[in-house]
Amino acid sequence: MLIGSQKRRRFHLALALSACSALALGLMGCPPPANQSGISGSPSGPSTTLIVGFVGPLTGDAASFGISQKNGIEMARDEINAAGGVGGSPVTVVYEDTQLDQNKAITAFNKVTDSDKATVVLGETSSANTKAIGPLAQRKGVLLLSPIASSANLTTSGFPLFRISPSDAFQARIAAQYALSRGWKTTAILYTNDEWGTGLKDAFATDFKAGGGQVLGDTGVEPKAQDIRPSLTKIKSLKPAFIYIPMHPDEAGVAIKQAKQLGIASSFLGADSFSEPTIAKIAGSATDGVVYTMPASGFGAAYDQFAKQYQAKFNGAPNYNAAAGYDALKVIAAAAKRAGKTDATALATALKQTKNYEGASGSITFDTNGDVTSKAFDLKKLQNGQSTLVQGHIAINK
Amino acid sequence: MIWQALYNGVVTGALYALVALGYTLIYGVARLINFAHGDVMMVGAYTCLFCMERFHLPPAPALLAAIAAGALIALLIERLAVRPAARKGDRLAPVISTIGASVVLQAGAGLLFGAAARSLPGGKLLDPIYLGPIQTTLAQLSTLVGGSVLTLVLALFLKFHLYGQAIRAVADDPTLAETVGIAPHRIAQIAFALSGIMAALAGIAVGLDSSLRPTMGYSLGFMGFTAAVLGGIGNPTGAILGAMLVGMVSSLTGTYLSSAWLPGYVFGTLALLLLFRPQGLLPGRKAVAT
Repeated sequence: MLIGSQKRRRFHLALALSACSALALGLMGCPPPANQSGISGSPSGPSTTLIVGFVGPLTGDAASFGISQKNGIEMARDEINAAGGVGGSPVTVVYEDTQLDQNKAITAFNKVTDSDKATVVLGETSSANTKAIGPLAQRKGVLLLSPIASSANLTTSGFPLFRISPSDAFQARIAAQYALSRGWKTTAILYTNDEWGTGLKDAFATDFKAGGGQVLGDTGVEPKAQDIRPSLTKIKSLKPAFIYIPMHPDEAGVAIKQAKQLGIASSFLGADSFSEPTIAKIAGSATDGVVYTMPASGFGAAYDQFAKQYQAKFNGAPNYNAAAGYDALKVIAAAAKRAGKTDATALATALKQTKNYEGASGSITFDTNGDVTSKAFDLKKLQNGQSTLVQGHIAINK
Repeated sequence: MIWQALYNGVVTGALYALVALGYTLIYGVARLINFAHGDVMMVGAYTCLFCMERFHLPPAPALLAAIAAGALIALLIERLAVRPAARKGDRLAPVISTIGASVVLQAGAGLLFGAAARSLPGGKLLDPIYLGPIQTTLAQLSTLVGGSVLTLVLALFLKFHLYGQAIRAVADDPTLAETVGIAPHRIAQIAFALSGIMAALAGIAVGLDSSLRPTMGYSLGFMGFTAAVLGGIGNPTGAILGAMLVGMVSSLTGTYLSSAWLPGYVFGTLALLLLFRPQGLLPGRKAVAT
């Protein structure tokens, strides 16, 4: 079908692009071997300069996600450079806008790695686009770290990836535990049919069933769908105790609004997308009482200091995405300092040694997959468009 | 469940009909697909929101302002994007030009109102109403009744009004129409304005029932466009039939299969139908004049 062929075309495009760049690299000859002799003196040669590329949406529908991360990264860069940079030279960050479009993400990735010579790429923002650039990063030997992509599927996608946000497998488990603790035995899952939504749907179904719950049915919609009535009509007929709704803000707002119009009485249990004010802007009071999971942030000395400086610099409170962007560059700079080198292999080895790093987005320890296992989640509830804490700091026990 | 699914399909069909008629009218007189048509919907919806939020206008004047804005933007598209490009005699240039207009409108709305999705304040219009096995809302009923009445008025206009007859004459044979004294660009303006009015109303219906954002015209426009092609582009009756078919396919596949592959089902229907009836459900633009 259309979507399948588009994907295939994109895949072919990615293949062609990477083939071209591989050919170009081959023609130019292998890069000269890094200076490994460790001659005494200043290590500020060009090979030790840390160049980081950011690949994410800075304009378009998802611009707010990218701009928050960029703000956080800018703060981290200024701090690192004010303290002498890495290896004696300042860290450079180049930003490329993708508008959250998969083809543009591939172009942006190639631009920052080929033209700007970045050895580290921060991105993408969506799990689907991260999956699109992941194989390219692997082939080019570039270190890929996504500050906020969180799909459970990314852990097993087959390319190396570091993440600051915990995998959705964890928030799905906490959501399932919460539902079971409320005595809710039956659910229907209404999800966005993309990398992120299907990852949460599958992880939640597995954990909910394992805890004795019953999944009566699931139904997906395309991203940015504006008519969710058909799916809601199906779900209504199943009469679930609650509806698990891993949807992006645009669809989630419409779904909750139209569910009220259809007279659906089941409660909604959401994922981290519900922290976006868009949902209440669309659905108004229909969102009252919706409970959702959210990576815990806003605690600890590291966060307090970050929030204070963010407020001073950008004249607004930081969100999780800004904190994740900030931590992303900080852990990479710390790894580069430990390794004394800035090539992707050395950085990856050093990054994996990150243990209990107290960042603005929480504590960071990477497992062998590059997933963080040291973070906690909050359960929050929406009321009048505001989120209140139901239960804070639920540790993920992997 | 089946009654609800059928009802959802009819309401969605009535909405798509408003959009599809715009495509088909413009195609009839100007021989082009207006790719900015979906964005005219968006302009209508945002005008309504803006008037209610910024100027605290009651719904009725805000609605009128939105209709005026829809007609105005459609006329501007005709004047600034279509006509200059069409003057050189190239069939493709004006079509590409409308794609440009679409980009400008989306970017402009993004700058003015932000990229985040919003909603028109619906109040009591969105409370559930129970009609036997069917749940609906006043907003949905207005879409259904309003859409049908508007469609009927348009049909009567095309049939009996002098300008309506002129639209059909230009659609049938622009050269002949010109020789009997009909100015094709004047008629094109009327068709664009009418399509703008219907698009603005469709945009408001979506903003009430669902949400609005600068890129909302993209997917809705494609549904309307598909409906117009399904029905036989240039044929208003065909556009309505096509819209009902697309509405039904969306609702039934979404309820009984999955909405996840909605564009696949809709375009699959289009591909299948065009395989057996390349001209669409009804004959194309020639039939407008019969």
